[in-house]
Formats: sequence, structure tokens, C-alpha cells
Amino acid sequence: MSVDISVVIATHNQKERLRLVLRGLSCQRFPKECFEIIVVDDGCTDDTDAMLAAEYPDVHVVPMRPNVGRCLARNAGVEQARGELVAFLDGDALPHPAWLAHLWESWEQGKHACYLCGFLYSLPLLEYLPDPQQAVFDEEHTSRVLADFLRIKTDLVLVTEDQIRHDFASIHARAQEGGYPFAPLKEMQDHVAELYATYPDSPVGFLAFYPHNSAVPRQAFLDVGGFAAHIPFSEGWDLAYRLQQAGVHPHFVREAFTYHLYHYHEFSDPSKLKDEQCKRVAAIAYMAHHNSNPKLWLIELWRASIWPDPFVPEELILRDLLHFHQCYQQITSSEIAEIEALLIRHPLWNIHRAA
Amino acid sequence: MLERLHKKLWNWFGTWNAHLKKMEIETALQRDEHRLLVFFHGYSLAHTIRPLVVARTLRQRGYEVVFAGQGPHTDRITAEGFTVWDVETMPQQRIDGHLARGEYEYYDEKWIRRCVEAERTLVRQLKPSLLIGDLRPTLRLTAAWEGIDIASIEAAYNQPGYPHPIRLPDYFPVQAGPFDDYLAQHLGQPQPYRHVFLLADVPEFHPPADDVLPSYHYVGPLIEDEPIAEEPPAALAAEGWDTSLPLVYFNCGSTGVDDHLLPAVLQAFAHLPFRLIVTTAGRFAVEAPSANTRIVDYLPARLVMRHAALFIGIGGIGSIYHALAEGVPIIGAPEHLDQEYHLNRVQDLRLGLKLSRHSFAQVEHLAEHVRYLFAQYDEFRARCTAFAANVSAWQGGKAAADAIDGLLFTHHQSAQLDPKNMVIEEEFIRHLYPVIADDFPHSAIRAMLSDARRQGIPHLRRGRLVWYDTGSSWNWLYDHEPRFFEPDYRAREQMRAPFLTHCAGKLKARTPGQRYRLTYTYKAHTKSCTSEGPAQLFLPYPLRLPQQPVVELLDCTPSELCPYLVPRAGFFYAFPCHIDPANETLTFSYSCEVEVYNLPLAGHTSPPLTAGEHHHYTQIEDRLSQSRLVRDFLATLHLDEPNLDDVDKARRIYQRIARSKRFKKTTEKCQCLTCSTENMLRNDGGHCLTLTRAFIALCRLLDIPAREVTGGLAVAPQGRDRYGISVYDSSVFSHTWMELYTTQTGWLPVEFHGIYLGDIAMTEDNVADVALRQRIEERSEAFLDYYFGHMDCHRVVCSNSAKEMPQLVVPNPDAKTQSYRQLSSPEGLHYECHLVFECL
Repeated sequence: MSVDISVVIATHNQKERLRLVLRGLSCQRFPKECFEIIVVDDGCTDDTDAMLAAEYPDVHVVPMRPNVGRCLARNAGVEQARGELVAFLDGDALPHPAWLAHLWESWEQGKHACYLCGFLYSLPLLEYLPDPQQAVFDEEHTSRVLADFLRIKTDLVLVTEDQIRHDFASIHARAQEGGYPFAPLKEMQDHVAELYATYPDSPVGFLAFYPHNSAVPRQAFLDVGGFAAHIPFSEGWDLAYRLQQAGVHPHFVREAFTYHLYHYHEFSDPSKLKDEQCKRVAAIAYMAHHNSNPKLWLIELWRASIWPDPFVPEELILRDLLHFHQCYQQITSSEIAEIEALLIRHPLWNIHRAA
Repeated sequence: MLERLHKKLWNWFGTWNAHLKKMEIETALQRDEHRLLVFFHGYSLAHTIRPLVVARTLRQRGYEVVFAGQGPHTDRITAEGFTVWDVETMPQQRIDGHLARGEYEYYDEKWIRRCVEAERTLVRQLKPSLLIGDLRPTLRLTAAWEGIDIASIEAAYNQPGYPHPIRLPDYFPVQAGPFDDYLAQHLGQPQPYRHVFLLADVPEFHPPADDVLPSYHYVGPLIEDEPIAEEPPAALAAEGWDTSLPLVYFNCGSTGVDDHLLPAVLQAFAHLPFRLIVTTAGRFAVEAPSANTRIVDYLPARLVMRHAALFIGIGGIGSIYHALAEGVPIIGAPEHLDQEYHLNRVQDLRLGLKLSRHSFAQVEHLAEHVRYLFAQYDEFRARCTAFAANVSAWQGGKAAADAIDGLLFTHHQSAQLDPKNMVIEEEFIRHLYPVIADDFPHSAIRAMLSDARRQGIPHLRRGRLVWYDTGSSWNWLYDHEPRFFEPDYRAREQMRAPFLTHCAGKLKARTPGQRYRLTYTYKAHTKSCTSEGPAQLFLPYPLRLPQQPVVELLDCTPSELCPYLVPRAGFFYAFPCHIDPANETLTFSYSCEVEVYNLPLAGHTSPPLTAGEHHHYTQIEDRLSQSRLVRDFLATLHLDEPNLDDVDKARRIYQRIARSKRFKKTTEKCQCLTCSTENMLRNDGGHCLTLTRAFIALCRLLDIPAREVTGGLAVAPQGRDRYGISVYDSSVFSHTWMELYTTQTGWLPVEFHGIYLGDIAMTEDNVADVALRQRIEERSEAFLDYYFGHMDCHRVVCSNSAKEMPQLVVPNPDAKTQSYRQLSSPEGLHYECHLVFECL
């Protein structure tokens, strides 16, 4: 039987969160027979495979041994996909019940020739819970007083399969727009919404793309080579840029919601933030180099408006995506060369080595 | 070798200087004239003992010390002969009850009002010189209301930028919020007061922030320092239990609601080979279950620790430091946030183990942790013994009293001298130099300073050296000394003469623009730097702008600097260099040609703002919009009158500031938009940066986009068609003005030159020349009129980042958290910047 959409989920040791994501997919308003689910088990060692076999036997599992990383894992998932539209989730991205329906509606409006960027929400405080359905705290990373506080207010924290089935509104009510714990991600998403409202055909529309809530035409994805295997971060922007260059235009689907089931991550620890920042910048260096487009360095000047950095001179900062769009259209090659010269010498980023 | 000798001499000089200062305090401070009012929280033993330890030393030094508070531990204070005034204090039961329900905002408006009213009544009655508080968050409101200095006894983890914070969710109530709200809503014009924080910790346990604020002083543990007796207390008497067994000390703590811990400990130790001594602070009446367990209300903690092999507790800071001082490993289960902070550090430093209360209350779990610790006891004990030296080296009461002495001493002086601004006379003269013409001989300046000292300029004499404050001493000269003010003013007149002319009471530009050859020199004196090795250099450079369309580099030294120029950024960016002790001065320079035109430019229109730009240029802290001080100020301007557009409103604000605020060098640590606004409204003056930021903030409150602009001014005439400016240890491109945006005008420039060119700059003393006085009065209005909306061309615009970004940076080995702090200006670096404008 043919399917319209293949949902590809790459996951690594997130069994408890994946269970909720799959529950979210089982509650979709989109006809069940019209989509398939492909889970790429990317070297999981937490019995994800057993959970899938026992609880979701209909899910198509692609085992990757050993762990290959999320880019190659997603590519492997797409290779197995049958739908003309491939929708991506992560193992910790819970979809709204209307998620697929909204994506499909936009896909049809775009005459099957576009890629789709959804809208992100986050569910705060889940990082303290190894299993979002159980009020059992991660002792290593949860402060004692916080655990006491949260135990009293479990209604603020827990996400259960039962809620997903019967009371999704209560989950939505406590979600926050954008990312968590980094409030600036909301600002980035607001900029995206403003860009699409003003310049729907902007050449920088690819910046709306986040792979854990997106959908791409399968053939175009394969034609551009899928996700880059070696990019250290921001693989979604890189893929979306290449799709846009290939003539597949982005659509921002404001109604297609996913909810990040936040988990402990190394950059929750401030001392690890520098490494993360270096990776992010190295990713932009990679994009600029591999796509032979130094104008992609402007992404860093936009990010500097959201993540303050005293070593980026204020005059260069792009305050929003409208500003970015205008600058991207107008900047000359000599000006971009100056900016590139500055960014590669940024004293903290050490980009020479990373690139 | 020479370098080491120099550093040694410098250190010795620092020590000697501190000693001299102490002697000066001893002789100058009349301690018996000062009454100190100490607020304690008598419901908690720690928050009673800490102020008591400080008060003992202060009383020994001759101060009159009076206490105020409530609670069951008040007897501790009265027993030592101190007077205690009964004032409203939040009972511990209320605090504990709220915390147990996860409600951290236990001070509501009603309680804040009750406490503040009680405090203010007592302060007005006793008229103390200083308030000292421990766990008294309302006291800073009283200090602001009554204009009285305050010293708060605090934990070091409460300092801004503490490197090991516990991350809490956003909606976790923030203690400061209700207090700030209360102050903003009820107090219109706070009185000036100073706030110092006595951090009752050692830096090795709770380390300092990367940038410790000068008002935060580590004073060491404030714990009972009773003399250590040779004999153990009676409760540890040898008879009746097996003294061959190690002694474990369990302290239940004086606060908290959890009553599961004591039974858990008693049960756990019933089957373990230890003696157990328990203190209950009188909270529990429990029978000892076996001969090897003894339970008493209180014991001298330090003395018990000396005999103990292990301490178990809830992590209260008093017991923690008693244990650490005696090198005793710790097992703890926190109940409150502060206890969590302490036990996190105990665990991080591997001085003991932190358990959750849940684990602690499980008997077998607790026993397992005790067995685990004793299995590695030698390692734990060795680390604790080594750490004890960090704790026992402190005398908390004495260190706290020293800080309070210092605070009262600077208050005692007629002017407030800020230690971080103090420079010797030679250096102070260099700070005067940029505004006094070259031909003003140093001997004349010295004579002027000698007269000024007799007349009351803030200064300190140490041996043969005279020290001045680059802020308050400079301000004194500016306000009182015609030999300083007049040449400064004439230099500014001379500087403007080729560019501006007075005509029929108005100021007009003489020329549409000017081309300059600009030479910038940066000299870094690295001999007293504590770092050496690789560094990176950031030299500011003029920006290319509509009013500054031509910027051409001519030359730079060293020539390798050239590829590091990024004109669009306004910088020579990240040039790699090396700090070498053998090379005492690093010199870098460039010259360029710049064309500068007056603003506004004919025919130039600003593009409309994007929403993001509008948002960015109207951003302001909520606190400011709620401030009664700000609301009152804006209300007096009647901005709600009909037919006022944004330019009219901004002009009213500008006129009010420019007509009422005088030029003053102020050195507030925080010069953000909010603090600059509050300080401008409270005080009678400010400088270009603070007044500009206050103006920007007030415009933004009216939703008028406003932004800062930075540049260098052609200040001191140096012969025909040539101007120069030299500054020391700050950026030469740091003059600040602003631009506001309206759709009709685009970006409109606004400058506060009027405060030092208009009649507001004059005092009764600082202008002796009658003709000059008359001229200033006549031309005052023209400056106010011109600099709202016009900009002259004897300036060069540079990146706003030029005044924020350190010019020379090195890796900062102490930075632990935020990435940008991993680079910093090297400690001990002195530098000078020279900028020469040659008119072409």
C-alpha cells in the first residue's frame, strides 16, 4: 500500500522519550494508513529495540551499529522511506496531534515542490527526569531543593502517554515557544515568523529549518545528497540551503507544532558552553566553505544579536532576519571578505582549526 | 630578575600602603562616636552567631553596638551584655512552612511593609552610623529610605557571578523581585547610601566570581571561636561508653521541618561500631537508644569536632566550617537552598558526601554511606586536614570589623575617596592633561594642587606621596579652581572656533565638513603585568558612515598590522602579539585620512527601521518603567500634552537634563541604562556616558528608538590646525553621544556638550574672569539649542565596541563559565592612547 508521508526519527538512547514521541504519532489526526514511521536506532544501548518490538511492532526499525551520528542516521532512514514527503522528528520531539495534517496541507498548497519548516515548543524542567512519565529525578544533575519543589508540583513537569491521548491541551498549556533552557531561541523563531510575513520568498528562508520539525520532498533530499555527514552542527540549515539552491523553496508552517522533551545535555552545564559555541561557528565555516558562499557568514552576525558576544563589533550585528535579508541582498564581495576576515580571527572561536 | 624584583617591591609597597591606611584609620576614626545597629535573625542559631561574632570585635574596638531582632536565640546576645531592641522579624516557622511547600517567596508585600516600618522607626530613634544585617532582606530598603550605609553578612554564593550556581527554573521565585518592586512603588527619591557585603566564607570553599565587585569582602567564617579546651566537654566523658570506637557527631540543626533525620541516624548507628554524640538545639526530646549514643541540647561545636572522626548534619554553614576547621569529613543532607550550596561544595572538594533527605532517612542507605566513607577514611581525612588550613587562617570577626572600619572611615572623610581611583600626584597631573593646554607648566599645576589641598580637595597624604582620586579630586578642581576650569573652557572654545560660530544667539557651522589626518598610538606598559605570553590586540579605527564617507589607511606600525584591519567593523582586529617581561612597552600606531561632515546631512535619509531594530533600540528593563523615581520625573515634563510629537518629547527630556545636571566624573561600577538613569535622577550630575544612557533609557520608555554613538573628539589644540588627546588606562575613543529615531527625521543626533559649555558648568568659585563668565552666560542657550539635532565635525566616529572591548587581551585562566570571560585584559596592565587630528 502506498504512503504519502514517511516520518523518520533518528534516536540514540532516548527510549523513554521516544515512547512518548511514538505515542504522539499514534494520536495524529492524519489518516494512519497514509504515513509510515521509520525509527533509526542509532546504536542505542538502552533496550530501545526491545521497547519498539514490544510496544510498536508496526514501526519500521533501521538498526545502525555502531552509532553513526544523527546526520547519517537520518539519511539511512530516508533511504528506506516510501512516502514522497519525508517528515523528520527527533527521539525527543513530541508532535502535536495535528502536526502531520498541517504539514500535508502546506505540502499540497506548495504543489509538492517545497520543503516545510514547523514551529518549535519546549517543555521545561524535563531534563531532571530520566523518564518524563515518572517523578524520579536524575540525582546527579538535580539540586535537592529543586527536586523537592518539583515533587510538589508534578503537574508542571510530567508528560504521560495518557495526557497525549486524552489531554494534549494541558501539555500545550505549559509549553514555551522556542527552545529551553535558552530563551533566545524563541527570539530566533520570532525572527523567522517576521521574515516569512514580510519576504515569503527570501533567499535566507532556509534559516527556518530545524530538522526535528521539518519535512522535505524525498527525491529532492536524495538529489542534494541528504544531510552532510561531517558538519559539526546546524546540519538542518546546511541541508535547507542546498535544497533552496536547487529550487525547492521553503514554507514556514506556523501551525505544525512539536514539543521538545528536554533532557540533560552537556550544554546545560555552562562550562561546556564554549565547546558548543565553537561547534556552531565551525558549522557556519563549513557551510560557507562547502557551499562556496561566504555570505553565509552573516548567520554569525545575526546570532550575535541574540547571543551577545563582546568580540563582535556592534556595528556589524544584524538585528533580525529582515535586516539579515536586506544585508544578504546588498552586501558586496569585498564587504563580506572583511567580515569573513574578522570572524575567522574571532579570539574565542579558533575557527581555523575547527574548519 | 629585575622584573621579579619590581614585582616584589610592588607587593611590598601594597602591604606597606595597607598598613599605613590602617594606621590612618586608627587615628582618624573616632569609633566611640559611632553607634552601629545590628539586625539579627534570632530564630536561627547561625544568623544569630554570625552578627554576634562581628559585634564582639566592633565593641572591643570602641564602637557602640546595639542589636535588634527577635527569636529564641536572643538570649545568646543579651547574655553578653548587648542591648537588644525588639523589632518585627519573620518567624522561622513561616519561612520553613513556605519552603516545605516549595514556596520561596515568603516575603510578601505585607511582611515587607511590617519589617521596613519597624526598622525605620528604630533607625529614626537610634540614629546609627551604620546598619549591619544578617538574613534581613528588608534592611537595604530601610537604608535607601533613610540614606544610611549598610553592611550585609552574606554567603559568598549570593555574590553576582558566583561560579557554582544551582540552576533553577525561570519561574522559581527570585527573592529580589518583591523587594525591588516595593521600593519602586513606595519610595520616590531614595537617599544615597553605600552597601557592602561581608561574605562569611573562605574563597577556597565558595570561590569568588570572575569579576569580584569591590563592595564584596570575604571575611572568613563567622563562627563561635571559643577557646579550645584541653579536656573534652562533660558530654564526652570517657565513662560509660567504649572510647576505642570512633566518635561521630550529629547535629540536627536549629531550623527545618524534617523530623525523620534524627530517628534515621539513631537507627543507623545502633548497629554500627561507632560512638554517636547528638545535639538537638533543644528541638527534639529523644532517649538515647544505647550506651554508645548520647543526646544533648547544645555543645561547643568546635570542641566536639576536635574529638570527632565524622560529622553528620543538614549542611548549616556554622557546623560545616566547624568541621572543616578541624579537618573532619562530613556527611550531610540539605533541607534548604543554602545547605545545598554548602554540601555541593563539600562533595565537589571531596571533603565528604552529600545525600538527599530521602536517602538519608533510609537507615540502610545512610549506614552504607557511612561505611563507604570509612572504607576510604584516610583519603577523606587527609583532604580535610589539608583544607583546614584554609579555614583556620581566618579571623572572621576581625576581618569583618576591618571592612566596617574602612566603610566608616571613607564616610568620615569630607569627600569619598575610592581606593580604585587613587593615583599619586604625577599621575593625577596626567589625568588633567587632556584638557589643559600644553603650555600650562607642571610647576603651575603643582602650585594649584598645593592650594587646592589647603582648601579641601579630596586627597590622602602617605609619607611624602600625595594621592588623589581621579573622580572626586578632579570634580573638586572643576568646581572650585579657576586655574583649572578656565584654561579647560578656553581650550574648548579654541577647539570649536574653526568649526562653529555664534550668530544672533544661535550656533552655526562654519564649514560643512573637515578632512583630517588622524594618528593613533597605543602604548601598553606591561612591566607590572602579571601575565606574559601570547596576547591579542584590538585597535579601534574610524568607521565608514554617511557623515564619515572617506576613511583611508595611510600607514601602520608594525606593518604586519595592516592585514588585521577590518574597516567595516571599525577595528584592527585580533592582531597576535606577545607580552614579554623583557620588553616593557609595546607600541602600535596607525595613521589614516578621514572626512567628517556635520549632521544632519542634507539629502541623507535613514532607512526605516525593521521590527527587530525597533525592538532593539527600544529595549529597556521593566524595573525602570515601574520606578516611581522615573515616573515622577516624567510626570513633571507634562509629556501627555496634546500635539507633542516624539521629537518634542525628547527635547523636553533633554532640556531638563541639560539644564539641571552638571558635569561630574562618576565611577559607578554599573553604568547600564537602568543604573545610569537612576543615578542621574538621584544625583546632581554625570558624564557623557551616564547622561547619554539615562537619556536613551528615558526616550525608550516613551517608545522612541535611541542608540549610543561613540567617538573621539579633537580636544586640546596643539598649534595651528592640529588637536590632540591623550588618555591613560581608558579608550581615547570613548566619548559618547546618542541618536534618536523618528520616521520624520531619521536618526537625529543629540549631545550633552551643554553641561560643560553652558552656564550650568559654572559655580561661584570656578570662573574668576568676569568677561569669560559673561560670555558663558550669554552663549549657554545656543549650545543647548544646537546640540539637540546637530552634530559638529570635530570628532571621529568609531565602533561602539571600542569603549567596551579590551585593547589587549590574554587568556583568563580563572574564567570558568561564560566563554567571553575566557579572555580579559591582563592584570596590572597600564596603557596610554594618543590621538592627533591634523586638519587638511
